Amino acid sequence: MRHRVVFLFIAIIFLMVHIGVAQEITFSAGVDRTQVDLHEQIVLTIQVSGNVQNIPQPQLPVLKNFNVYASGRTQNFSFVNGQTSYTASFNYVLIPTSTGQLTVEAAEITLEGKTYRTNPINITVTQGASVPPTNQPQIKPPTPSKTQATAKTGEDLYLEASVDKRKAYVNEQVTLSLKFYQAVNTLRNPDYTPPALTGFWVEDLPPQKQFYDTRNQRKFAVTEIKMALFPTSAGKKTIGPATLKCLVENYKSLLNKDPFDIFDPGLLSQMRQPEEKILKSNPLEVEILPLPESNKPSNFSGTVGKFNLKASLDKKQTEVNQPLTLRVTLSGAGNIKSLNEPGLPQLADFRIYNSGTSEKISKDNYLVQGSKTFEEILLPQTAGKFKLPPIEFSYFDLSSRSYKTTKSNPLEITVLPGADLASNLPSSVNELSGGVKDINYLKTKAPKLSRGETNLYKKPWFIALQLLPLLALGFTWRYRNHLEKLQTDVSYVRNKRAAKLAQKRLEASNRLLAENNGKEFHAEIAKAISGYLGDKLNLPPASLSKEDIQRELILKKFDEQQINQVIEILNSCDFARFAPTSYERMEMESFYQKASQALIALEEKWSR
Amino acid sequence: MLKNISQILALVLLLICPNLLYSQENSTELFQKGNRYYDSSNFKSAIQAYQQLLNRGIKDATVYYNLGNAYFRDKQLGKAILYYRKAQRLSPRDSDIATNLSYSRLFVLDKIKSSSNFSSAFIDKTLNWGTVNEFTFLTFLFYLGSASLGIVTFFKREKIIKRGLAVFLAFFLVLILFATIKISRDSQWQEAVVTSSAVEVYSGPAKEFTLQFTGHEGLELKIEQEKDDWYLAALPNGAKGWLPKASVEKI
Repeated sequence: MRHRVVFLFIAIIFLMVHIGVAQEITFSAGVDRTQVDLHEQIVLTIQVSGNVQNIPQPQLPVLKNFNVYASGRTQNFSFVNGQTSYTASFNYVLIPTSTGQLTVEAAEITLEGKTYRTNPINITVTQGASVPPTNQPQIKPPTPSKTQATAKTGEDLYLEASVDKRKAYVNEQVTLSLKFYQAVNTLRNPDYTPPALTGFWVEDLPPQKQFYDTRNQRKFAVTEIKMALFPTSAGKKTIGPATLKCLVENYKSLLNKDPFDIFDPGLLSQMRQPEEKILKSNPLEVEILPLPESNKPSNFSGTVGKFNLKASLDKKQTEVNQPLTLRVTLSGAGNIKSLNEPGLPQLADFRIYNSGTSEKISKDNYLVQGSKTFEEILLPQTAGKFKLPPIEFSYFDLSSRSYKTTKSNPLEITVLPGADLASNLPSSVNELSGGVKDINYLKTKAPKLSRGETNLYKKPWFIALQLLPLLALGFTWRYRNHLEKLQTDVSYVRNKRAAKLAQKRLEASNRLLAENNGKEFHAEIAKAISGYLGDKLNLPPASLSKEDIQRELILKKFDEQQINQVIEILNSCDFARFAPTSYERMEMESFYQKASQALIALEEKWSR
Repeated sequence: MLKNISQILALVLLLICPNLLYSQENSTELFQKGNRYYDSSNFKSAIQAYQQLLNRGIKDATVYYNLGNAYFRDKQLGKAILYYRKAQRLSPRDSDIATNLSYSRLFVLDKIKSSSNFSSAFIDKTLNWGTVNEFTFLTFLFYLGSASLGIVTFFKREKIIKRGLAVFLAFFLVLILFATIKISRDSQWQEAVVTSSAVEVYSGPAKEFTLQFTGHEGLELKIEQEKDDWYLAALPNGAKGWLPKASVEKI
């Protein structure tokens, strides 16, 4: 259980470290499907995510085999506890113009000096049933009057393409119009395949127009669709033919038959037999002029047309780390969808996050115009008054054929020191959460005002103090061992008490000496010595003979003279006990001295 | 009786070193004088009064703190941070000091992201919790505790005492480690604060070297080396460079 808790704790620490590190940028591309029929659409999504402040439009490679339509940008921005994460998706609609294995090359983006690339994507395009894609305009021909329907079908139907200009600048709008002339009825809605428009950015220009036109004295019903083309590069470009597949009633077969053979069983079916007609428009050549190099502003990003820039803030006053929104709106005529964000000036005191773009496009008079709004979230980092320098945007003005720059008005922001500072600062300043606006006041209580003291670990007495617990440990350990032996080890106990007992007996004999009791005196001396030796040698005193003593003492390496002395004392004690002679006091005293000296000598030898 | 003895002792002490009482009183007065100057917004004189105290060899967190406040009011951000740091060294858990230090740091022009990771931040936080003496004393307490529990285990072999001993020993070992790190840091790490309004940091100890970055008043640095009139200083984010000694002051 305890191990599990420790493991969990370690795991959490590692996790937290990893969260701190994981702030990388990911850049990826994907398509909604990899197998399509010709002229069906594929949605390409390019995604950028990470803690990045300004995400530019990724650079799409030149896709030769596709018509490319940008379909917008979606983004998600979150700011939680000082952590920002940001995801932007760029969507493109690709329509293949040829069959086979096609490759969507890698897209590129440069963020904070690093270039990221996506993986190329392979797409298989099959011929398929040529069903017109749903987003293509349906050509609904007006019903021509029956009387106009002649037998001749050769020029009954045709498709005509035209452009409003043959020379244009890069990114200048060229309006392509496709007119479908019909003098006969088609049997069902024709299959329309748009022209190959490689090298152009295409915008459809609804609505379809339907009208009548007279040509060669024939009245035609005309359906016209228009498209705005924005050339992406200079050079001679060809607008490929558009195709229209339609079914018409076959009048020829009817005419060639004998009119009287009316009961021919094949006639009815032949009358209904439709004929398939494939109409192609004429290819067009357009010359695209490069934009002049002279006087090109450094911040020019390829926009052509006429534009006006406005910038506004949602509020003029905020607090540190409280976001405000800056809206930059570009309005005018030109390729609105491809407008790049005007470069914001470097603002050291703000963190800037792109939060979204929105477009408003109107196509009145078949001219692409409108506005695009870029929203930026500004996070003030420091308090103070700031002036946002004007935001500039350069474009190529078509009417004057020169570069022009449009500017916003300078904006002012007041940033108050925020109460919310604590969330973005290291945790050691949690005291701030009360909303600090100034330093705390002085400490007024006079301290003891001492001179700096030397560190404790440098003081001799403190170092000496370290020995105390060690000494105490050592002593108590020895004492514990002593106590243990007293309880368990008989020989240890006897050994320890031997000297004390001998001492007591000597004192007793001294008393007997004073009483002049010779017999008892000698007996007591003998008891003192043999008792002492018995205790020291751990032998029972009763069974201790002089031979035993002699043998044991030799084993303990006592010298011979000392052993002899001890034996001699014991002998004279025995002699005195059993011989009925009385003793001189002087004699007894010197014997006492001799015995106690012998005991002292023994004890000295033992304790050494 | 006891009162008499202490009175006599005080008298004897006064006779031996008569300026002891004098200087103590005078220091307290000087401190209060500084506070009065501060209250009347005469910050320059307040700074002078507190500095005089320091010149007498007094090392005290309160004086450092008040001096830091006076410098802050006098708009000398570098010095303010310097003295708050000095105060914090002596009294690491004082909330006034911590508040004022972190508040004045907001005014430093250089914003630096520390490159330290989670575990080293944890160690730093633990080490900044106390002074060297506090760590030393705490270590000693656990040493004493371990030894006494060890003595008890000689006589009472109960499980709970053995476990207590293990816990005390573990704490003791960890504390010894922390105390050692703390002592070696305090004696080897030299930190400094930029006190001039801006300082140019070069790649070598002379102006002829490449200018690496410009630091501003109040920037806290670690000094790693010195040569002639130059210090080699490192920032928390790992940037390093040489700067003239006169532009910084050691904590």
